[in-house]
Amino acid sequence: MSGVPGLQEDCEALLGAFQEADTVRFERFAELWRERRFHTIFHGRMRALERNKITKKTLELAQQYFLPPYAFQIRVGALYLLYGLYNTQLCQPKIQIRIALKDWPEVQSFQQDLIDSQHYDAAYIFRTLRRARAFHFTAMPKLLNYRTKKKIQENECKEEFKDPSNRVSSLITNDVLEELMNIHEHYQKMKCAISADKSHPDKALSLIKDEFVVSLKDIALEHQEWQQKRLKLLLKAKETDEMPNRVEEETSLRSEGSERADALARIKHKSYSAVVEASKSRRHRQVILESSESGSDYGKSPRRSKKSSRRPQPAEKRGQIQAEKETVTCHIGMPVITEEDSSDTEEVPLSKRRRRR
Amino acid sequence: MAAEAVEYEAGETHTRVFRVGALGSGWQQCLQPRDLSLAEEEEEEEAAGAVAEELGCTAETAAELRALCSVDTLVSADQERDPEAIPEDSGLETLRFRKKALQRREERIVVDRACRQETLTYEMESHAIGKRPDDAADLVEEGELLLTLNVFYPVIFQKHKEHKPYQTVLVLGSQRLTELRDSLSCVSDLQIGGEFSSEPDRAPEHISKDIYKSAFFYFEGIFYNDSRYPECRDLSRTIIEWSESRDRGYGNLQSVKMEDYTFNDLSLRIGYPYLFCHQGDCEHIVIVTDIRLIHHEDCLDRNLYPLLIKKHWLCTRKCFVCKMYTARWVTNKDSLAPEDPCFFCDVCFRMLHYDAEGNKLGDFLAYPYVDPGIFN
Repeated sequence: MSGVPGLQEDCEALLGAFQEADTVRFERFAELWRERRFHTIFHGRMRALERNKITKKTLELAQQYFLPPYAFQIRVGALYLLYGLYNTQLCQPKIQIRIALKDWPEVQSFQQDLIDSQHYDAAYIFRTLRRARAFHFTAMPKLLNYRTKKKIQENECKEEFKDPSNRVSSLITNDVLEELMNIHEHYQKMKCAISADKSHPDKALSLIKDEFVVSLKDIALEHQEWQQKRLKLLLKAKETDEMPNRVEEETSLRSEGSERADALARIKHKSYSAVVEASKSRRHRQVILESSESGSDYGKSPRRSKKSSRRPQPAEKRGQIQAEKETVTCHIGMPVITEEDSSDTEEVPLSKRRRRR
Repeated sequence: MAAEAVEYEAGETHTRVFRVGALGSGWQQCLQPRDLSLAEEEEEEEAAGAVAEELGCTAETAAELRALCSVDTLVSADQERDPEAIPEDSGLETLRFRKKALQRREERIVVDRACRQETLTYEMESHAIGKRPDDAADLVEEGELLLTLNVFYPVIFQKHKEHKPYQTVLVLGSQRLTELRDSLSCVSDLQIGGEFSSEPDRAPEHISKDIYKSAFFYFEGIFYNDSRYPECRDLSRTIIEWSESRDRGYGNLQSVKMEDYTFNDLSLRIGYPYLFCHQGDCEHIVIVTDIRLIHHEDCLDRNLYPLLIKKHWLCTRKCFVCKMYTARWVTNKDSLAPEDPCFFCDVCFRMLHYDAEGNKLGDFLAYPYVDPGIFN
């Protein structure tokens, strides 16, 4: 499904303003909403069918911001946004908000967080939505129609909205450090117990650095500080609008990527371009030089008629780091049957056959 | 202990295998009876005390909350009552794009009105919404699962190569596979076999639906064969034998009876293509696009399920001669016709190919033709 043009920008503008306001109060959100007259987002001469479709897409987009990995404030903003959109929609009967089973535990813990931290307005709003049965309880957030060839536009969610994903600190938590400390002490005691001198472990038993737990903690802290500094720099860069810098970065990345892609393409071309032309009697089984560039798939996909053209795609395209990517479909196909006639030969376009004669 | 939730498999185009019924029980464990209730809308205002208890705040706060968080705070009282007009000075990007699109539409279209396809699509989508049965026994149960299936048409035309047309059917989790099979209408079921050029008046005796009753569904390595009638044969036997004859990498394929299984019993993936085969070789791809809990605003009448909510509009082929009536006959190797195959309506067919006494003129083969657009 293609998105509603302009909708993502509007939602992100509203959520961004809410984030800057640095509060989670619904009053503030309602102010921002009223400023923008956000309820008019459903306006415009639309007949019922189109209106249903647009409302569904709108709610789907807003629902994405409600789940992790977004920051707490953004998620509260998204909750308010969903509340607003659900109640100001023009569809009759109303379109519901989809929640998948896999996301429900996070939603529950979010609600519990809200209650625990006494954000009563947010908790009340969630409760109201739930009481109004505004949710569809589904298996997956979106409808899945096996659209493998569709260019999936990677939803570039803004960096500022996300919680800085600190994998290091999530691994080396306080509990883990405490546990390590305990084990380390226990270990030292054991070493002392079996040594000759009861107060000191034997020299021969010193196999690890004694201070390693402390240094581990320091390293983890350092990493966290570095990450925060980096985030600040990023924000500063965006503010002062250092476009030339960013463009340079992008182009350097792009050139790196395309260089490598060029080299790869050259090597592949050399090894695979040698296709022996079969004798006339076996011409119907002629091996066809299939391009290995993105765009063709290897395994038999269930809908063979959807195969894209066989023209080798220009190498530059692969190097570009674009938001739009084609999904790789290769491995999802059925197992390739070896002893049968490769059915690719049936699809040789007529023009190719004529050329060989 | 929460049941294992459904997750995407690699590539995010479909999920991993799971048992449909497990989703239902998974959700029921997480939710309260209030969430699952199918009662009609209630407008009662709840007591501030109930709110206070659940949120852990005081009753005054609860009353305050109700005022603070009401929907009225989101809509300013006076403006924008008219949903048709786009406000002039809006800062929303969405509206800017929409306005441009509307302007373009105004320039290009003379009369902006729903065409009959759009009316049909909308009607199909919404005709059953909110329907409740007269008989309470026919009411859908709470906690019932609703599956959305896309059943694709078998490829007939060249123009359908890129986007295969499909029909969308809603089924309940507790319904049997046979109920879905009976509800699927395919033009191949109505075909009449046989060549009738010498006796065009002889009424065809059986349509294919009555003669060839076998069918099967294929989900995740299991063939569900229809065995309700004595004429039904196991169409999947050929495939199973083929797959077992050598190591073809398909693992163990099984064959079971379709009428013994409901959708809740199945294990399948969402978004993954499966197969429905009938008439021996008429194959339809089936994809389950969505499974969710039933909601009080859905159609709650059991008898209306499986419910067709979307259908592809196929243009009917008209008679070559009059271009008015739908084609009922198709001829091959016809010395009197300009093309092969050629389509005729009943009247034009007889007028061209038979004389006043009913003798056959010219040399041709004639077959009764059922147009795919017959279900429009």
